[in-house]
Amino acid sequence: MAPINFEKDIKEKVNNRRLEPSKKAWDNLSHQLDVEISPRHNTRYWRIGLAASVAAFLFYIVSHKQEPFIDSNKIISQEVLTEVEQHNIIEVADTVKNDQEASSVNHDNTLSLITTSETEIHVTTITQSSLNNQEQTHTKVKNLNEDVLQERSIIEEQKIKSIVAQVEILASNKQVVTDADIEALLKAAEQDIALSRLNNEQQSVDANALLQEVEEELDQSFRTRVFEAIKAKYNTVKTAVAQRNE
Amino acid sequence: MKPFLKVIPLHKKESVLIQKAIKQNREAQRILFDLYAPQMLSVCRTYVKDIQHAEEVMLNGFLKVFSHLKNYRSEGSFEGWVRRIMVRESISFIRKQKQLVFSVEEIIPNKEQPNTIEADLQVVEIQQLIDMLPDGYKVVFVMYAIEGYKHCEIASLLHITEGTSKSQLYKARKMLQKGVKKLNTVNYGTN
Repeated sequence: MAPINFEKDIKEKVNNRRLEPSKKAWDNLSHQLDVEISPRHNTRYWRIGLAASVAAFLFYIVSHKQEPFIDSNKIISQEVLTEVEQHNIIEVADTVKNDQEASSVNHDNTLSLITTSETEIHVTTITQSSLNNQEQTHTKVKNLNEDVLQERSIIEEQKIKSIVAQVEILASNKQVVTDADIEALLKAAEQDIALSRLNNEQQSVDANALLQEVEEELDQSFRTRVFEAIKAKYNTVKTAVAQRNE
Repeated sequence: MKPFLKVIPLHKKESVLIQKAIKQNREAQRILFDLYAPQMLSVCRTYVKDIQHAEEVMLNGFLKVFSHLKNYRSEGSFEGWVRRIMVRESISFIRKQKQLVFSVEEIIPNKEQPNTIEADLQVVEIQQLIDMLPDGYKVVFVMYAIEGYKHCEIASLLHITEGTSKSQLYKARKMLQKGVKKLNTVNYGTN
């Protein structure tokens, strides 16, 4: 037998060898793959979820911190805008006046000048219309205020009359009307007026606080008016009684 | 009308399977496993004595193959890449068993050893001869003679010197030749 290269022979034979794995081999591997890979996916989702929640939290904090700044900026910008607008209105009105005067003096204006004056006039008309609107709103507010004042004065007049009538009744019954009686009547009348004001305003605020506030607001003129009315009536009653006694 | 034949090259089919396996397509993974498992079990068996342990090592190797498949750069053959993983896994298994001991003595052979035999050995007999070797000799011999690693690569993988690798190979060859002689005596009654 011819000599054989030992290692070459081993290499060829071992490399050509095939050993079939057991039937359960793939199932075991598949199970191991499920165990190995699924926790990685889970951790990935957890990480993504955690990152998202942190981002959301940061966004929430940043957005809430920025809100007051935005509002103040808005307010400031609005104020500046209104100032600028008013300034522009005055300026535009002046320029329109000047342009009209200039156009009446010199009819050979250039096209550019005419166009600018046109645009300025357009601006002034817009601003005038806005001014008219503002005036209308002002007048509306004024009218409303007048209505409210009228209503209040009517209520007060009614109250004065009722107090005077009550004083008359007291005078006729007791003959003597004390200051305490009048003071009590005045207090009751003031409270009624305050309540009626509250009802008119229809605001959902603390009623007691407002009542106190309105009571304080009630000026002394109401009291003096009441006293004057009582005085006048008392004099008439007094003269009437004196005349009757005579 | 000529029948429409579409021949898909094996490497193209393999690359498609690999791409699917990367996306954890279990069917593609199964096909790749069926394709390479017999060959890889043979590789593991050359290092590991017990066939059941060898299968265990192979399954661990395939687990690493499928979990690190995205790292495969298609530079060499897929089979070569899987084979290297199997070799490392086998060495790691032997290390865990605390069987991998290398003799400190370094014998650098001066002349080449005779590398011829006058017997046609069966693969089973070859495996028996390899199994007889101590693990240190066996690993170096299989890596060098069957897998084609160089001494520097073996030294790097096994954390030994090149000299130790060469001496281990020398001793392994000597033992194998003795083993072949014994086999010849048993089989043919010659010395």
